[in-house]
Amino acid sequence: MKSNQFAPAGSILDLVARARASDQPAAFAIRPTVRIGSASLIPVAIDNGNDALKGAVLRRDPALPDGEGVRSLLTTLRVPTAFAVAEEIQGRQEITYECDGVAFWTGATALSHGGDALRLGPTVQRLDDERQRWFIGAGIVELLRTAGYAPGEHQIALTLAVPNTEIVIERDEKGVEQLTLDAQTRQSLTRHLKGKTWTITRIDDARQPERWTITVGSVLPQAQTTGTVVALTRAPNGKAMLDLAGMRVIDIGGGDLHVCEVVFRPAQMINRRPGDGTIRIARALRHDRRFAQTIRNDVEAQQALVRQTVTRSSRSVSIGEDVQRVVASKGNAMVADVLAELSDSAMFVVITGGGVLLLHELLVSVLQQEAKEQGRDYLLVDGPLASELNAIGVLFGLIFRAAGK
Amino acid sequence: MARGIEHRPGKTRRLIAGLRISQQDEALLDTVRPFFPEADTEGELAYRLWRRGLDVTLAEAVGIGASLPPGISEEGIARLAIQRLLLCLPLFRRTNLLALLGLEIAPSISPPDIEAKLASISGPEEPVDEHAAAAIMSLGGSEFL
Repeated sequence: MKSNQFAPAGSILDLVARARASDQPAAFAIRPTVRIGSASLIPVAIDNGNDALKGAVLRRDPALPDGEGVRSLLTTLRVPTAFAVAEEIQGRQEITYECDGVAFWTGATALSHGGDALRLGPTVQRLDDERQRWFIGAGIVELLRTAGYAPGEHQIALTLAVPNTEIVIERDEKGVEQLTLDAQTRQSLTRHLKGKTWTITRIDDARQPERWTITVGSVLPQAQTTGTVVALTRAPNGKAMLDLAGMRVIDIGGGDLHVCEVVFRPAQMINRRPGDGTIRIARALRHDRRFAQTIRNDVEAQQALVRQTVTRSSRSVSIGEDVQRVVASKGNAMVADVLAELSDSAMFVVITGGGVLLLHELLVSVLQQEAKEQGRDYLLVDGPLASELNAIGVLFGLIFRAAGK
Repeated sequence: MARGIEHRPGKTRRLIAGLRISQQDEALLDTVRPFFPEADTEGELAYRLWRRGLDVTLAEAVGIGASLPPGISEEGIARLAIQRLLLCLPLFRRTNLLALLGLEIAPSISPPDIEAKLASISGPEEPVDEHAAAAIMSLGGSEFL
């Protein structure tokens, strides 16, 4: 089956999937900056999941002649949520960040040096941990760098995909009900991220320290499911590409298997958590006695699932068969949950999230037996895009929102 | 048409091959012909194209270890071949092959240049749909902090 062939034609998902299928960066005829008030800011999207931070940003296509045309290229990034205080290395240097006088490693580098998983849970609890804030800052630096921005000072408009459960219904001053951010999360984001400046020095094996100063000019929190909805239903210029009254989004994440029913007019969001996400598979692996010494925490277990290898006595060991075994047992239970959510829905259903990659074979084989038809009744977002879709969608959500400000 | 012996001042060439070309090749030949105004015969044009191919093929062969005839240096061959490839760069760049092969890193945008570059953008831009912002707000994306 061709990956993501059922994505609505002309939607952001469709364009990104097509570009990736031809090994090209996704390109859009929109500007890579937004104007908020008098400031021109680089829009940066972060989906800080339990297993990994996913980021998305645009930059002007460097192939455009100076002063001609508008064309932006999309860059995405995934960094496992692991953190370790950096140590002195003699020999090849790891990518190391230094912020507030602390040198640290993140992601795969942290994991390879015995790093810790970062705190899970709601935004409030996570942002209270200063390691989490350094981790996000370093993730933004790496994202901008990957996109081709040069070290220096950058002002960004940061949009965060927050858990749907942190979006609540409130009445505005006219008494009209609207979906908005809960007060605790708002306070936490205001305290920790609004106006935040990270000054980060990045060092790698080239041993040329780069100094990055990232200032958050504006923060726009969005429900993570908004990312999926935007990427599926909107074109890069915001035009509606799919005329639906609503949809049910089944997000197979690292921490949670999450179901969200979205109705567009009037706006409603109903959230359920049928169970854990791929963490239940990862924990089965972690609690296997054979991996007691090699998989020490949840994020290492998630990484072992993705890579299908572990490091044992300085050797990279393939654990493909073990992964298949736990996916077959725990994964089937998850697929059963997904199938139940699909079967009993009268709405269009979207199945997405990083777990899709892991459960792909199981999902495809059961969905083929399903009376519902892909494209008409449901959509399985395929490949790495399933993990990045929320970040990509909220990036465009920020751009649309800024244009209408 | 090709002549048996080419007589040019200071140069003598031996006929070593005749060319039988397809209609498609002929069409391609018509595309490049205007770029060789100095080639006043079909044979002269064929020789120039053959010579270009020989330069690049020689560089390929030497690159994997072939020995050169006496008096011809690797540097000389490399210089000839690179001239041919340099002329192809705009095409490689337009088709994104350089970046794809990792031969060219997209130039970084230095922070002070960003505003200047943005101010100078004047090409066709797709305006954001007026209803899109309202859709984001209705889904909870209402607050810029």
